Amino acid sequence: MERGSNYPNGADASAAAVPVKTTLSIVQERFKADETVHLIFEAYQIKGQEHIEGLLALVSSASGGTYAIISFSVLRTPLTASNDLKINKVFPINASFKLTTDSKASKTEQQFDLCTDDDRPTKYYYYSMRTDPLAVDFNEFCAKVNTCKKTMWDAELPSEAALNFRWLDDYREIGEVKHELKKRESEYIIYKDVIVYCATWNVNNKPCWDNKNTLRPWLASGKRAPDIYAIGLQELENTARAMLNGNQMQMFATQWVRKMLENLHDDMEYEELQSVRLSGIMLTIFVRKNLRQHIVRCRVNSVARGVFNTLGNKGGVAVSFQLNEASMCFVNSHLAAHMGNVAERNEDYKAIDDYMRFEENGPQVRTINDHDHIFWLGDLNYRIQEPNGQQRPGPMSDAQTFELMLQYDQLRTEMSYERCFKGYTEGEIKFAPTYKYDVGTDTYDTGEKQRAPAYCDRVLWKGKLIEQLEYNGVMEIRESDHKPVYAIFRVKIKTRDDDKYRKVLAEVLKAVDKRENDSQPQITTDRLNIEFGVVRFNEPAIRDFNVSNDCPQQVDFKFKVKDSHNDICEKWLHVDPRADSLMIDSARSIRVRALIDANSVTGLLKMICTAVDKCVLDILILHVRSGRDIFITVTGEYQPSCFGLSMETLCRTERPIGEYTLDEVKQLMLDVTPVYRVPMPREYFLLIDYLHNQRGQLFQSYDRRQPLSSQFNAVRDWLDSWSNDPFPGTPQTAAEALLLLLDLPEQALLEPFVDDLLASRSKADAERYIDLLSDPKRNVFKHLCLFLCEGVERGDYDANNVATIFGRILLRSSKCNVTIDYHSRCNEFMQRFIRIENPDTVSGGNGHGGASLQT
Amino acid sequence: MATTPRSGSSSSGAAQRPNGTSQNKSCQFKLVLLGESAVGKSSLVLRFVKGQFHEYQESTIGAAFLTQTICIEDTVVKFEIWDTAGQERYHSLAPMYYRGAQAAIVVYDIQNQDSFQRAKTWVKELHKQASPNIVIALAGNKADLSNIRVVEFDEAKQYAEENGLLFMETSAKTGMNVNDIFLAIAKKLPKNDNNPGTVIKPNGNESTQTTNNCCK
Repeated sequence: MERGSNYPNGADASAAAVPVKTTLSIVQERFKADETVHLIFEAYQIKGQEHIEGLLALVSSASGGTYAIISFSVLRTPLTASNDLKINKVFPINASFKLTTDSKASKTEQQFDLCTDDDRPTKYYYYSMRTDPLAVDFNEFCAKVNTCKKTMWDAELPSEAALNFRWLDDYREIGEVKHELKKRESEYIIYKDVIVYCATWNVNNKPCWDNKNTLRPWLASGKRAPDIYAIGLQELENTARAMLNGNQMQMFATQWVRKMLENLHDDMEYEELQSVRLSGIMLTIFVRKNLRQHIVRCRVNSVARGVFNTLGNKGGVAVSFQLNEASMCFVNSHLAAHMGNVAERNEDYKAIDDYMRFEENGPQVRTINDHDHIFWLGDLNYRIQEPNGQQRPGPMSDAQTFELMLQYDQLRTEMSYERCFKGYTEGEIKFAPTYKYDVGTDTYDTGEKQRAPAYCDRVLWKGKLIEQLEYNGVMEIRESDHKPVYAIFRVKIKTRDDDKYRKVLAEVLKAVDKRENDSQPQITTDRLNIEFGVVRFNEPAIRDFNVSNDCPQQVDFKFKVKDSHNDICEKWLHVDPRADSLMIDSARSIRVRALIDANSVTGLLKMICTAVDKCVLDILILHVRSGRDIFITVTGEYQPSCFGLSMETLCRTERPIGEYTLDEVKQLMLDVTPVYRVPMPREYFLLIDYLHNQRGQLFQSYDRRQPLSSQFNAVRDWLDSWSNDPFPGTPQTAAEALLLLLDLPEQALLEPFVDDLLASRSKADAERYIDLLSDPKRNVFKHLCLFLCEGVERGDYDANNVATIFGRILLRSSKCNVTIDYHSRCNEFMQRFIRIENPDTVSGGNGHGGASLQT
Repeated sequence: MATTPRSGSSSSGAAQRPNGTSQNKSCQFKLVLLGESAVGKSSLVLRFVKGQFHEYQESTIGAAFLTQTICIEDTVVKFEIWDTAGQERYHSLAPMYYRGAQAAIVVYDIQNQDSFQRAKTWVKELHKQASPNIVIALAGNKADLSNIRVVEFDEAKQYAEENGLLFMETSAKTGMNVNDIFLAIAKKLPKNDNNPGTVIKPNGNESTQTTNNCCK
């Protein structure tokens, strides 16, 4: 896979490095050293009506071995610094990655979708002309992306596990702080020396001996006490008896661990971190006691080989963990035996290398090669394949002889051809072959097979900052046909200097906060107060104000829903638009409409009674996405009108309501004393008086949501001024006004006895409750009934129709659980009062009210 | 291909050391500033977030939003700060801002008795209507003018103690106690998130361990 030289149109990044930074180089700044931006493609997204400028970058990671597309929004054009780029999405080019074009679906053909994993596809658009000379065109973009995917995922890759997308984590969501920290790693990372002692021994099924036999020459060599021991044993006990008995096998293992622990370096206290065993292959990690607390994410696993690849008499076991900031992996393996089985040994190695996985948090896994420091030890079983006629060395041969033999060492040969242990290193061997000895002696196999001596037992390493200090076989341990081997390393462990780290972290956080706060989207409004002046009942008024975006990015705004009324504004206001987006340097106007009508007047009057400032009609909350809220106060002085006021309030007036100030009306509304200036409101009397003289079916239907007739406002003024002029509208307008006057007050006319009245069975029964109503209400009711009664009698009104319309208004119930027969009961109740039965009673009551009104 | 393995340390934000310290544990909290108008709420935020002070700070008409992140021990605490308008006419909107807040700073002006009374009303309202676990700090601001104070330190301190509030006199002008009051709040806030770190025991078994609630 080629990297770094894949610049579009043959342009090379360094050649393009003129004093002004190229877009490509700015994008590259957002990535780490081992990540390469291969191409950039200009794409935009559409949100609402707006275009959001963006860039797609095809990036590869050397460490992850994978490609991804990173999607940026461009906050500022032209792009001058990497801070102007905001990552908005990451698309790993994995097996499920898709780039699709579907020209049928949308307004423009120049669009495509990107999709990976379970996400929904994200749509991008592009222009036919490139603005940046280094950006590629669409065909090139598609071709390159598809090639990447093909080479990565369509070909058969034996070690797919080696590929990962973990590098992308730094660019997802909260990646910014991490990204900055990573960039400044050198400021707080230090390297601490750790002594690692690797040891391996094929114990040839020998049991663990008693305390007399010391393992110290093997495990306590070296001057300095090690920090970490990794001790691998092979052929722990593979007699059929033991293999069938797991408990017994475990007992052997435990004995060995105890024995080894007793024979570690004296100068230090150790504890067992972890042991892992696959049949007779066991790996034990001991660590210095006070090192333990610095080790996290310890994982083990094993890969079985040997008979049918399952028995586990061959194979490998491994331990993986993290020490400070470094990951370490130790493998102990016992590979295929016998001189001729080189290929099988290579196969065993590959299988262990490929299939050994360690669980990570989440769905990810670590492979052996994902570690910073890897140590591979064990009975690798590679032999000395000397040409015929070569002398086998004596037991005490010198370095020269070893060097001669090692020329024919199968492991070295295979490694030189990269057929196994690619990337691994082995130190110089200055010790005698470790196999095969007559047990109890330092004499090479004198048995029947006369096996040639070999360096079966080895220690290899891979990774940076590892220095081998010693590598030796131990002749004086003679219990097995193998001699034990050990190797001591000094490893520089990546460690975070906590003080320095905190300092860098604080700086990074500060910078990120600053960027976040400074780049906060902002809009300005040309006013914080929308003044409507005098607002009258049923007269809409309109005010416009402007919002503008003067920050260097697109801004989304909306009016916030207020919990108090579950909407962005009060019922008497209407705001348009409720939400929108503003591109850079753009502005738009927002219209606020105020209308105090039948549907909102009651709410407004209620608010006026409780509000501190009676002129504040509402406060709008203009919310900027990821930014501040702006309060916009809407003011206006409501011109009081009789509509919406209660009978009681209207009976307290001494002059036309239109002559009252809002404050005075508020006082009238808040007054609860049962002292009234008149028995019933003049407004009712005037309307009924006028209607009384009109002929025809005036009460056809009523719906308070319907717009009012064109003459209504003239009638409103006539009523609010107790005018002596002739009625300014049609009889229908008068009827409409009467119904509204009755319907609008917060409380229905017959409250608080609606339930009792609906339950009453006779007129007399109902009368008892009517008598309990406040004087104004009772008088209005009686006067109204008399009027309707006459109309019905005259034949102008249909009794049933009038009873239905007025019944619903007078007996209006705020309860949601009205009974099924609510409407028929209302009708029934009203009919009792508007049919002529006992005119004397009604006219008597009315006579009194009427008489007062005449004065 | 993967020849440069990276340390896995960056992949887990909440990896925890067995000895109880944690790496990069991070929490986010919503904090709201309340108090009478002109007591210095915006100035306190500006001093805390940007280290600045303006003698003539514009009155806040709305709710300003800023973020600030601080480190306590190994925990990264990110504050989402809502600085609200102090004018009485906006009082009814306040619940929208303190609702869901984990912390509140109620500010008064040590030269202004009314503002102290108003602060008490805010505290009452918060106790009644805000989230029950809200951490409330009382800030007697403009402490640089303590020679013309009318609200005594001891009086406010006693009130704060009786009501379980953190208390400090602050000065946005000099910076006195500004970081400290935010820090004190951060320390008092519970920091066991939904994602307690994973601890690996020596035997390889994992156990989830919840950290103690407060960083002392």
